[in-house]
Amino acid sequence: MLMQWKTTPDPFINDFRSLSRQVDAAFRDLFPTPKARPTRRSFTVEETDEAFSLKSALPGLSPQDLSIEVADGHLKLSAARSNEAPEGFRAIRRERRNVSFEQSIKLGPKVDPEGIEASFENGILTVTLPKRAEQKPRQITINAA
Amino acid sequence: MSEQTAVSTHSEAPKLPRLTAPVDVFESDDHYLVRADVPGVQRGDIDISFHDGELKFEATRGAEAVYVRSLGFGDDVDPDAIEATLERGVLELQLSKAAANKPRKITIQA
Repeated sequence: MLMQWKTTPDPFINDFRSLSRQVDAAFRDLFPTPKARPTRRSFTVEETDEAFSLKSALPGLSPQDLSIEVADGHLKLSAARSNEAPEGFRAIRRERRNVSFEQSIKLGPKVDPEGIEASFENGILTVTLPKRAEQKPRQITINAA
Repeated sequence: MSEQTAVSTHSEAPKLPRLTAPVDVFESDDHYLVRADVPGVQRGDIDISFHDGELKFEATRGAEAVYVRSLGFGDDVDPDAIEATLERGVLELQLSKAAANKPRKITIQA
């Protein structure tokens, strides 16, 4: 396969498809797809001796768009992003999806719910779930006889 | 079908998977606005070029992947007036239309 970005056809000029795309885009703006049903989201999960971490790419979201809650032994995450055309602009190409999800993740017995922390950097959400102290590996010193 | 197969290996730098960044493109009377999702990319890790009517960028996400994209604008764009911002994993590029292509109101002379 050739490099993807080389095969992108010239989208805007001297191209009949450009017109048809603009018509499509105009229709999409007039009749937007119904609000996407919340979907599940994939997370990358990593485990260390100290903690689990969940990561998910959520570009364009601000921390206010996102809700994280710990309740009843579950971690509940929800977020929404809609890609509105800016004032005075019309869309001629739409590939970025609206983000809308609600997800509840059951916390295992190893997780210390009190210590859960979240950070959001460059559009990547990271939730850190520390392990309970008794779950962390511990070196046992052999006592001298 | 891997995108990596097509990427040449002309440098010793580790070969990162190349991902196509999804874009929205908007148009107004005198500007184009491109928004691209490039989560995890930091400000200094983006190369943007405009040559022969083609806008290209490569945004490197740490040691994980490179987001690439190329869009054709032809001679509709003023190459000296392209502005880029990166915020929360979204790259925004504002292109000014070339003066000759802006809609222009013609006044009928008395």
